[in-house]
Formats: sequence, structure tokens, C-alpha cells
Amino acid sequence: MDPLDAIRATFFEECAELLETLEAGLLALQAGEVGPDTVDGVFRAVHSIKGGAGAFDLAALVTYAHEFETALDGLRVGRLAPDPDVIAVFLRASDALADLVAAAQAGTDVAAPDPAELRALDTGADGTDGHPPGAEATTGFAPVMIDLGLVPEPESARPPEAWEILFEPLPDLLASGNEPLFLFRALEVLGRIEVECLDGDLPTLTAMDPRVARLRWRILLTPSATDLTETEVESIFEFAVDLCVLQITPRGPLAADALTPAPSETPPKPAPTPLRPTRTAASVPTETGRPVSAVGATIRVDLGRVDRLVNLVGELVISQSMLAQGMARAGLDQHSEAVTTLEELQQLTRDMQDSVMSIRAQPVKSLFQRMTRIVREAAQATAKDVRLVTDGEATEIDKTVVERLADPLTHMIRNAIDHGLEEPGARAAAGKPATGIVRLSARQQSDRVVIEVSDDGRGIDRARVLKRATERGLVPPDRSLEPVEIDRLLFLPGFSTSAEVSALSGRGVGMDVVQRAIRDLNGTISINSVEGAGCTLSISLPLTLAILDGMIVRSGRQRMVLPLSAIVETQTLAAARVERLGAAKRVVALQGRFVPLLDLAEAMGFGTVAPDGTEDEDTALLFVEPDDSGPFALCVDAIEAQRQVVIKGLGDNFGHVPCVSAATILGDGQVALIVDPSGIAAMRGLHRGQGAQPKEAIAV
Amino acid sequence: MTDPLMDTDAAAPPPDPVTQELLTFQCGGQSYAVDIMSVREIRSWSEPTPMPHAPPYMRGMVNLRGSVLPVMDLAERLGQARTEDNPRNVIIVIQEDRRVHGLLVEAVSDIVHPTLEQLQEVPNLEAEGATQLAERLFVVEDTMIQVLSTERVLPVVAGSAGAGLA
Repeated sequence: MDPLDAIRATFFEECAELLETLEAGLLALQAGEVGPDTVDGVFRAVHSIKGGAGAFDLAALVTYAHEFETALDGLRVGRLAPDPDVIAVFLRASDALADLVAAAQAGTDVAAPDPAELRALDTGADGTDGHPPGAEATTGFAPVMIDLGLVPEPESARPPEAWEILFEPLPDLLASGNEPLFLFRALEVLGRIEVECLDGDLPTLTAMDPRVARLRWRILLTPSATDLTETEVESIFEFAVDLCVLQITPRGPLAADALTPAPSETPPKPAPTPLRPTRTAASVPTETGRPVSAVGATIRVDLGRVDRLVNLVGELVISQSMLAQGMARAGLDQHSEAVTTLEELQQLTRDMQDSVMSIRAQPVKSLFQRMTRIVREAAQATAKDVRLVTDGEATEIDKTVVERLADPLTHMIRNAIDHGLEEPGARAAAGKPATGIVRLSARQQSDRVVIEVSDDGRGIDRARVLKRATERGLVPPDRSLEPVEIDRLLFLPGFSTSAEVSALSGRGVGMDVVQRAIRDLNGTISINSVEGAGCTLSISLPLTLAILDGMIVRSGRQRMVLPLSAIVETQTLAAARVERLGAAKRVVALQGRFVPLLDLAEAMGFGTVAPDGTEDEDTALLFVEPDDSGPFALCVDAIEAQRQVVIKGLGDNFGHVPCVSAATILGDGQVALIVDPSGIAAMRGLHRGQGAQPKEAIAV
Repeated sequence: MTDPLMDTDAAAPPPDPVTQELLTFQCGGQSYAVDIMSVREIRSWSEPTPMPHAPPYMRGMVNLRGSVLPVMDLAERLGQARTEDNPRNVIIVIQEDRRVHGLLVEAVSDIVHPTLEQLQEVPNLEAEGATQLAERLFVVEDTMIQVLSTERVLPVVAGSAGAGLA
């Protein structure tokens, strides 16, 4: 790749992160979490996009980002209050900015968004009191901006002639290898420095710890370049910033000796830039020109590479265990260097395995956050007042799944707003609050991840659905359908209830497309509607690609993994109350009620029960309660560990294996089965009667 | 795609009988061969994790560089006695379409290039289950070698995996 293209690609990756930060910040403001950090974070995100865009000569982006920034500055300095209307404008502006970034990335032209709305917000700002677009050293993105002086700096923004820097190392500064002298030398490159050592509060010699920095310094920097910015000064301290208290104060030319900030040069006009007083770097570490890294930088990596890493680490673990066995056979001394080094290696490998496993899993948070924009746009298009409530954002699923869920979720949310929620008038008539609620939730439920989109709207109009389906010939006219069956008609290809396809959720796709997308992920989708109270769509995804918190148990000669979420309780056999029921059956008391007790290996189909004699103090009982059966207990020889495992689907090569949901590879390289308690229940006839079956997945 | 079970590069050219390369191996005291284009790799023996509710010839699963590889005892699949556990046994990893399977055999022997004339039809013997799996026969140095159809050797997914026990 052309080096510049690579930098460009990095810029757009950063933009994606910055846009996310921007939106998250605005949403926090909308939720009333007002604080200078939030406002600053939002401002910095826009500012960094502007800076980077300037480096790539993306004029439209720079111009709009500048307008945005100017308006945000009003919020920052307090000219604007973060009330809902203002934030709404900002949110729309952030959408527009995202569109511009996308267009710039694709190299296409889009109509430049009208900044009038932004300008109208902040009448105090005339668009010139901020920094001109691109004229400032970018903080978030690497390419250095070269100010050619083509754009004259407004008078009020002229940098001060000197900087007073108060530098107070924290105890850890020296321990981390930083040396104040080097920092001062670096400062010296920027201009003339006068360093004054403040040794006021030194301890006595006996109490002195030579490893702890006790001195403080005051440095007066007279820059050789007149346009030195605070950011540039701060960047000298970049690596020490978390380890010191840093105050950088701009000093006017006449006030070089005074300790108070310089008075403004142009008193009649409110000029925020030079008046911005001291900043304490230690308390606001994100102020140091590294805004992206401070809020959790990410990189984008080809998934294939991650998979390769996962597999390689698996191989490493196996080779290591073979090495360990070989060394044990060689009869090396337990305290020999080789053995202790191997132990260190094992620890490292374990850590590495854990880290690698966590790469693929991703919380659904970013996916949910993307939906806020969908809700906003849909609410605007339908003129409905909608609030999105999210729940379980920390639920982790495989990265691939997260990405492939975006489209189906978008469609489901649009549907919920367009078809589900009533018009404001109808809501009032139904006695509901004017603001409709769309709830997006994620949770892990036994061996599935369940994602639900629900609304508090009118629910499915079954009469209309049935009429439409009959008209389309999807249902024979004389057929009478159960309500659940009617709901499922929505998933039939080409079905659309809107009399005319609306601009919003129409778009030529129906719920059948959503269903297909979910099925491609080996998931199922179900619908649950209550007339007048709302509709819930549940996506249930298998953990085929995901990571499972499992309990590794030994039973028979096998090690197996039980999903932690399936286990309601564990007991040791010795402590449990086990009774015989007939000749071969056993029951055990769980909270005062007797439930069936099965031997895990036997229930899985691994043959003979261990004779009673082998039961010892390790023997444990795991109580499980699958969705579709009553609770029962599984007897295992021992519980070995509790840990996250990567799920390896058995699909193509095995087909469906009863009682097994998937397999995994344990730390020593052995394959272990992941037990499906529901499958065991089905195998043993523990299922509840047909009538008590919970709502099942749609199968049209 | 880095799943080691899947080799998308192996866009096998249409089998040309004249130049067909075969991997020969020993199994249950007899000689067999498979098209070398379907052989992904040969692995040393490692103890498979048994599968519940599987036909007896399915020995279970082993870890193939982070993927789960099903392993079948080929001798048992061919209707013979179960292969005795021996660290010198090998697993031939074969790929058939999207499916990858390990065949447990006693030893790999050679790579041969039989000509078209050397390959004989399999005589029709009252449809014994085992003979159905061979598609050709040929003789090398007085030893008869059965060329197996990988397609027929692999169990039918879903149908046979749990059949007979449900």
C-alpha cells in the first residue's frame, strides 16, 4: 500500500472512533451527565477530525467540522446551555459529520450539510473567534500541520509570549525511568528557558527516600517561535503526564514576572482562547493531545489474523504440555532452572491464551450505540417522539456476529418505530406517555445470546396481518389461525403490512430478510406481541462463534464443559440428600424439592455408570434447569475448573449430536464436549408436557 | 479463511485417471488407497475425545491446530475389527467438499501412479457394506489395493451421527 494511503486509512479508522466518542459524549449530555470532561471530549473529537481532514485536504469535511467546533465551543465556554434542543442539533450535526467522513472515505461527493442550524445556535460566535479550519496543529492525528500563514490569525488568538510551567513530579516519576533533566532539555529546544527549583518542602536527610522525586520546578519558557501552542508545550511532557502535576500558564509579554495570568489584550471583546487559564494535567490526563488513546484506542484487524493467532496459541499450549511431559520424564530436579522457567512459560502461555480469547469477543455496546442514530432518524422521519433504552450492553458476542447484526437490528428498530409505535395522538388516546420507548437489550441465556427489540406501541394488528396474508394468497381464506401463527406470517417473504410501503421501513425488504440474516448466523427469531401493549422481537444466537463461561468437569473418563449459565446450584455429593427411587433411579433434594439425579457421563451416552465405590469427596452435583424442562441434577466425578472457553461448532462435520451443543479445546489441547442440558432433558424425557412449552422459534 | 480444517486453495483439478496419484496405506491388515488430492495432511496419533451417540467406528474428535477434527476408525468403518491402540497409528486427514475427517489407519505406505489400465472395476459382490466403499482395485507387486471413495467413506451427516440410539 502507498504509505499515504496507509496513513489515510488510519485517519478514517480514527475518525470512526472519534465519531463514536462524539456520539457517546452527546448522548451522555442528553442524558444529563453534564461535565466539563464530557463537553471537552466532544469538542476534541470534532477538533481532531477537523485537524486530520485538513491534512488530507478534505475541504468539505474541514469546513463543516469547523462550524461544528465553533458551535461546540459555545457549549464549552458556557455561552450555550446543554439543553435538549441544543443537543438535538448537535446530534444531527454529528450524523452529518459521519456522512461527510463516509463520503470522504469512499471518495464520493455529497452535498455539504447546511451549517445554518449550528450557526443559529451560537449567536455569540461569529465563526471567526475559533481557530480557522486546519490552521492548528492537530491533536488526535499524527501528520504535522504546517501553518503557512496564509490565514491570518485573528488578533485575539495570538499566542502568549511566554509560558510558565509548574512541574511537580509524583513519586512514581523516577521509578518509571523519566528524568526531569531530559524534559527540560526538550523544552529548551522550543525556546529559552529559565528553570527555578522549588525545594521548599524537603524532608530531613534521615527521612529522605532517594528514589522519590521531592523537588518541584517552575520553568519560564520564552518560545523562539511565536506561534507555539499550549499543546506543543504539553506534548513535551507526554510520557510523564500521568506521573506529574503539570500546570501550564500562558504569560503575556508585560507580565513575565507576575504569577497571575496575563490580562486579556482586548478587554472589550470576550476572547476565550488566551484567557483559558491553567490546566492541571494530572487531573485531566486526556488534555494532553492524546485524546484517542485515553478513551480506549482500538485498531482494526483482519479477522483471519485473529483466528490464526487463536489457533497458534492452541498449538503453543500443546507443544508446551509435551515439553513439560518430556522434562518430567527426563527426571529434572524440581528446582532446576529449566523447570522453573517452564513454569514461568506456562503462566505466560495461560495469560496469552486468555488475552487472545478476549480479542474475538466484543461487547454489543458499539452495536447498540450505532442504533441510537437509527432511532433518531426514524423518529424524525415519522414525526414520533422516541426514546431508545438499552440494556445489557456489556454482553459479549463474537465480533463477526456483532457486525452482521447491524443490518437486521436496523431494520427491526425501524419497523418498531414505523409500524409499532402509534402516532402521538393515538398514544395520548390510549393513555400512554407521548414518548414511545424502544428497548434494545442483550443477555446471555444458557448457551444462547438473546437480543431483544421491543416497543411499547400498539402491538401487531392481527386482523390486518391476516387480511393482508389472505389477500396475497399466503394463507387459504378459510383457514383459522392461532394468534401466534398470525404473528409468524410477518416473516413470510414479501409481506408488508403498510398500505403503502413507507419511505422508512419499506425499502423493499421485509422481516423475511431479517430472518434470513439471523438464520445465516445460526440464530432464530421469535415474536411476541400483546395487542395495545407492544411487540417484542427476540433474536437468539448460538454461541458457535462466541465465548462461553464454562465449568470444566470430569465424569467417567471424560472431561466436559457445562455452560455456567445453565448451572443453578452446585453441591457436593456428601452434603446432598440423595434418595433412591425404585431400583436404578435416584433423586436429590434441591431447596426442599426432590429432582432427578443423573450421572453426567451416562446421561451423555458414554455407557456404564461408575460403581458406587468410586464416589469420593470430589464427587459433585450440578443442578441445571433448562428453559424447557424442570430442574435436575447431574453427578460428576469432580469439578476441575471454571473458565472461558472458545466454542468450536460441530456443524459441518458432525451434524447434530444429541446432548452436545458444541466442543471446545482445553488448555492441554484435548477436545472437550460442551454439554447441552436441554438435550439431556429431552433424551431422558424430562421435558415438560407439550402444553407448557414456552414460545418456540419461528419456523415458517 | 484460516480454519485449518478448510483448505480453499485446494481447488482440486478434475481427477484424471491416467495421471491420478494415490496415497496407499495399511488398515486392518489390508492395503487401501485414496486420491491424494483429497488428502490434506497426515498426523500422528493422539487420543480422541469420544463422541456420545455416535456410530462405533467414530473414535471421536481431536484437536487439529485449534479446530475440531472428527476421527473415524477406518478398519471398523470397513466392517473389520477395531484398530488396536498403537502410538504408531496415523490419522490421514481428508477433505471432501466442505467436510474434513480424520481416518485412523495403521500406517501410510506409498504414493503410487497407477495407469488407467491397471485400475479395475470392483466386482459386484452381493452388495456387502464394506465393498461399497471401494470404487476401484489395482494390484501392485502381488498386493491388491482398494481405492476408496472418500465420499462414501464419510458418514452421512445428521442422519447417521445419532441414528440407532435416539
